[in-house]
Amino acid sequence: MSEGQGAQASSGSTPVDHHAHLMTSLQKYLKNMSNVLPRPYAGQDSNRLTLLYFVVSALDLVDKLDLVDRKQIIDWIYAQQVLPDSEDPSKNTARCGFRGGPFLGNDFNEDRKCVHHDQSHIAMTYTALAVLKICGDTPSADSPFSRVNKKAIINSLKHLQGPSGSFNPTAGESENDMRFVYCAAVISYMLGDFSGINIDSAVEYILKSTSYDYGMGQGPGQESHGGSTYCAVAALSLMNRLDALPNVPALVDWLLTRQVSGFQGRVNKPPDSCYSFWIGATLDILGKYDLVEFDLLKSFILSCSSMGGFAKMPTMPPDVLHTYMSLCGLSLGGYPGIKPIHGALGFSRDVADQFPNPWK
Amino acid sequence: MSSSGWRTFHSTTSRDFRLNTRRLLLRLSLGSKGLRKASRLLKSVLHCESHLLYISPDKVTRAMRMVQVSISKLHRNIQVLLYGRFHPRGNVVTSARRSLPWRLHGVTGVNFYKTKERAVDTQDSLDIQMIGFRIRQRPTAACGTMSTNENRNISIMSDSSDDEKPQNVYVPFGQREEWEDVTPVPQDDGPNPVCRIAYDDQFTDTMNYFRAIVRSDERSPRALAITGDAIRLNTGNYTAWYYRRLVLDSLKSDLPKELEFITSIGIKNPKNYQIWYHRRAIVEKLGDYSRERQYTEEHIQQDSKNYHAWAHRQWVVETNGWWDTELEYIDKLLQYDVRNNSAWNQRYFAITRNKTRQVDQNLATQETDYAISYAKKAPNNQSPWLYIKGLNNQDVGKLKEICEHFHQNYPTSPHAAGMLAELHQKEGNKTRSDELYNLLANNLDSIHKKYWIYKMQQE
Repeated sequence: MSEGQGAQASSGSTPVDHHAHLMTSLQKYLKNMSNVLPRPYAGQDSNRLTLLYFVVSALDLVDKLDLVDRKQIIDWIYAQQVLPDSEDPSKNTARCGFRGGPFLGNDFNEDRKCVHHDQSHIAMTYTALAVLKICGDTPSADSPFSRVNKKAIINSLKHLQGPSGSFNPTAGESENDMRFVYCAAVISYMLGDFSGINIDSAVEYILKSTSYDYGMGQGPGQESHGGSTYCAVAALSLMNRLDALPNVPALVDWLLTRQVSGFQGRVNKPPDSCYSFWIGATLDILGKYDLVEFDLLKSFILSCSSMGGFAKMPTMPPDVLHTYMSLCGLSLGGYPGIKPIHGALGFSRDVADQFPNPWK
Repeated sequence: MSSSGWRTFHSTTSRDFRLNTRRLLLRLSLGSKGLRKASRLLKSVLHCESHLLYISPDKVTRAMRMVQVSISKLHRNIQVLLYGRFHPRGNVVTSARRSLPWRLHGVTGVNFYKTKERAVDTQDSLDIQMIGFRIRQRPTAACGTMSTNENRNISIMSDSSDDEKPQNVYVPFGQREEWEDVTPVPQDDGPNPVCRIAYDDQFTDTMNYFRAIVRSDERSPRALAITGDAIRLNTGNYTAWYYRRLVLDSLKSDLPKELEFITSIGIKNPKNYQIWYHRRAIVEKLGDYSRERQYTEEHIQQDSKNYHAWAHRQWVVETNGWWDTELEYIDKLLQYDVRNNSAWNQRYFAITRNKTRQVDQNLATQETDYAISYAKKAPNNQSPWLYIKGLNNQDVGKLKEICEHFHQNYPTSPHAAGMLAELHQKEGNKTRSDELYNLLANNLDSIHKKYWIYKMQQE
């Protein structure tokens, strides 16, 4: 019995309806979001690039990228690139990469004059590169991208890594935690160049952040958490250092016992649809996804479907992050109509395959 | 009781709720012309008494009861605080929003918020929580009978820290004299923006001026103020926070006052990374950690698993070596909720990171016994088992003894059985371990059947 039929049979209606309806309303939701995000998203204005990533990559996963104009997206993203100052590159050498959006007032046409306090953010650089590739940005001589200043980005990563091995997201003083370790690793992987990060130091940070239950927290001593565990394991995978994990069976045990119907992010928390990606993808990286009870997980994820998108929990309103994570979660289990994803990179395999493996 | 005074109604039994509700109805029918409109609104709200609220898939709650009303004529809003009994893990605000008939005449919208107060009803372990909502009214002619002279804003508790500050009418920056010299900088989204956000006018206006100030690198009191405005509109604006720190530095601002600012923003945004980092930066600069444990405790009381609050607390405790009282605090939390994994994690942190004392056999045994006593209260709770395993990782014999004993007395616990199966398997006792794995797969923990069968097949 195929995965899709399982969902269809339980709805009680004619077999095709439920699934087809889900996909149609999803496409409508994504198309709407790609045009205009409703007012509450103003609170995430500075992370707009991540929102773009969730929408565009989701469209790619359901093979509906033709609903958006890829060239326009590529141009918009390049307008967010922070480039070295045209006169004196040393002025902003630590701040190159991509911004979260034009919220600081930069000119759309590449503004090469360094503006006060303009800075990139490591998570925006990562999502920018991912969306560029998803939209089909063509490679250039030194990188898989047409107009990315690879050297500037690699160089800026050096300034973002701290003595603990963890990474800051921006050059000014800011928090540092496991999320940005992952961002640094995935940026390096996509650019095919790990010279910007000290891998040993990053690995040490990951080991220090491993909890007594073998999951990972955001930092040393902190509670094991699905999101930070994904970031840690995916980073190790991208840095080719999965061998550093101290006890894989114990980690797998922690990951699998997070499934209570859907996946919870921490022990004794309620299940949340996004962990179907964070936990699911970690299991996929470790080659143990087949131990997930997918029918049960699928029921939970589908119960989070709401107004075309997906919410964090049943009966709540949808948002683009949980929509994307739910799609990824379904993809990992082979749900029909969704492309397979690359666990460590987090987007579709056919896009992931366009990056040469730097470790071969 | 004069018609201008409102008594506070507090009760924990449903009988009292009903009495209080009737009394309130009576009071509302008195009063000036201006209040009649309000009373009509409230009567329709009161009729939702018989509504059953649905907040979680498997638990139905009792109805919400109104307990107190305060009317602010000046601000044309009516504040209503409701008492209800809710499942601690349910989302009360969402449920209230969904079930109350807020499409009332002249109402422009409803703001919901959760108040701080919370009590535990130990009988059926449901929380009693208060939620409030404000009904905003359009200032139509009908409502205009509310005289602006009288401001009858009486709140339920003497501590009205949860009440929003009076909502000032927004004045565009272009109309503010003190901003005359600044040219606003609009956002350039290019000819074909994607994922545009539907900003409202206030957002656009504030950000235009914020952009101008940041570009000019101005470090003045008004620059500080506008970073505050930008932050309130988008608490994740990392540049606004970063710039604010620069301005605070240049102005040599009063840092304790800044902590108050952080506290006020943090109430509505308890899970925002930037706020917590900013607090840490200010506290470090100030060198004064004295308020911090209390601050984390207040957040933990709202959400006992707030990741940021715990991380902040770890930093504060470790930096100052405040280990002594930590175990006591954790124990209080565990008594309230034995399943609080954040508290268990904190316990492990406090036990192992305290460099003034060795984690010797004695301590490990003490803590293991402690964990077992809690494991007995809820045999299905994974937290204490992870803790026990973490403390006794090397001592296989001891672990086996603990698990055997527990499994005999609490045969439904999947955690003891699971650990026991693994221990037997490692020793080569295949019959025993297979027996336990089968028990887990078919009985104790059938959700993870695939996993138990897989484990059984491992060498």
